Amino acid sequence: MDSLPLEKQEKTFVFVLYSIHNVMKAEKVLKSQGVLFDTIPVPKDISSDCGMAILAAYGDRDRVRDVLEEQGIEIKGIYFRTPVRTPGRTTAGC
Amino acid sequence: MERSRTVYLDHAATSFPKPEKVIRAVVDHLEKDSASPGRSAHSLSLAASRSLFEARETIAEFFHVDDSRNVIFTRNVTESLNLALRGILRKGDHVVTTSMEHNSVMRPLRDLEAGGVVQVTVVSSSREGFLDIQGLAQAVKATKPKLLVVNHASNVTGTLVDLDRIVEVKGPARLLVDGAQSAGSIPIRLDSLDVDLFAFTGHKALQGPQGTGGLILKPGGEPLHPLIQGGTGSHSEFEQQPDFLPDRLEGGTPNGCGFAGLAAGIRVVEEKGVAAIREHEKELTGRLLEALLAMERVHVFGPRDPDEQTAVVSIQVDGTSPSEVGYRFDREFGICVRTGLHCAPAAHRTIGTFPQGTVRISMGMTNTTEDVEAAIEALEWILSH
Repeated sequence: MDSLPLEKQEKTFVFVLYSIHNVMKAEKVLKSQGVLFDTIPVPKDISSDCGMAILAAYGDRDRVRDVLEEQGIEIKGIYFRTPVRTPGRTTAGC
Repeated sequence: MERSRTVYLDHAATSFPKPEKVIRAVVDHLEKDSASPGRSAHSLSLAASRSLFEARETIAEFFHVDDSRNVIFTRNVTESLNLALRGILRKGDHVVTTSMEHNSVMRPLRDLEAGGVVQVTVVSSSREGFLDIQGLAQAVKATKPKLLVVNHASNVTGTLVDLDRIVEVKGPARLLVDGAQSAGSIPIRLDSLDVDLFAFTGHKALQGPQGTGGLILKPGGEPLHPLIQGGTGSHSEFEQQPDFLPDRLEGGTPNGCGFAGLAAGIRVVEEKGVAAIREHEKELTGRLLEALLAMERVHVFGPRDPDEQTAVVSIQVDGTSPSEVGYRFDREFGICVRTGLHCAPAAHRTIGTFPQGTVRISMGMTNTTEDVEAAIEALEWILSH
């Protein structure tokens, strides 16, 4: 696995969910299962929504999807993310 | 008699004093997390979102609800009940309720009735506040209501309603339970009860601050129409309210510090255990009832049995008014009780105390037997002076 922090990794996946509540729930379950993740603004090239999304390592795509689905957290979309961009520079606009 | 300390016996209105942990949680939130939840990507907004989420999870776990999205935050149980009533009822619908309801149910229902939206059938309860289950079953059969509204425990007499028996006779109607007096006082498991909507407030037995409450929805069924619409931080590109919970029913920035306090209050209640709190309050109620029933000029209303009621006791005293008794309790003894109609004229009509009302002595988790003895001694003094 890439040892760089998630936001600096070359290839990652963004999980877009339906609400901030679900993002919070995803944080809770991923944390409890020891999955590495970050919570980032939904990138504007994915959606104009001003919510938050879950950023996960490239190799964790299926694991994160399975964990979320097991917990009944609906996934709006999973997006491959490259090249590296700085999450902080995406404005939420809300 | 000399007034030495304040004895608070008005827990059915608002619990007091609040646990230290609740005060700390509110202050901590204000100091560290009080940004707008779900509105921005910055770390303080995320901290606020996490705090609100944790509060929702705490409430869901407390009431045994699987998915905390079904816990809708409101300002108090009045707002929860209004949200339920106005969110479900449509023109031509019929509602069945009881004669022990609080005005937080009766006023919105009477307003909807006056506006020609709904028809309301009120099933009579006994003078002790017990619901007539047969009467309820008949009303349900005759009117085929969309909604049944029942007070889980009366705020006037403490009389408890057996929800299992109501579920047996409700038919296809949705059941809205007013849990203002029961949440935190008696054990409630919503996973084993067929209740469609459970309304509660944070500021009574759940030990939270005022300005916190909620409505718990059973998944499925026709979605509720929001009482308030506005910003949610989600789907901001649309001018329509999102259709998913909890955002659908929660417009505007929530009472973040209040819900942090409520979550802390619920954790305190969980640490003590609701069953243990119930036993403690039954003991206090038993002692108070025993003393009151032995006083000649005192009339006690309600079940007069700690097993059949919450820690709420309503009395009248011959030869004096409830307000005079309440005033003397306060001024001469520093004992806080509530007098009058308790925002429940229907309940007072039912028990025969309208319009003068009663003196209501209501105990909570933090009261001691000394508090109850102080009230008994004070009343004995009032009776003889």
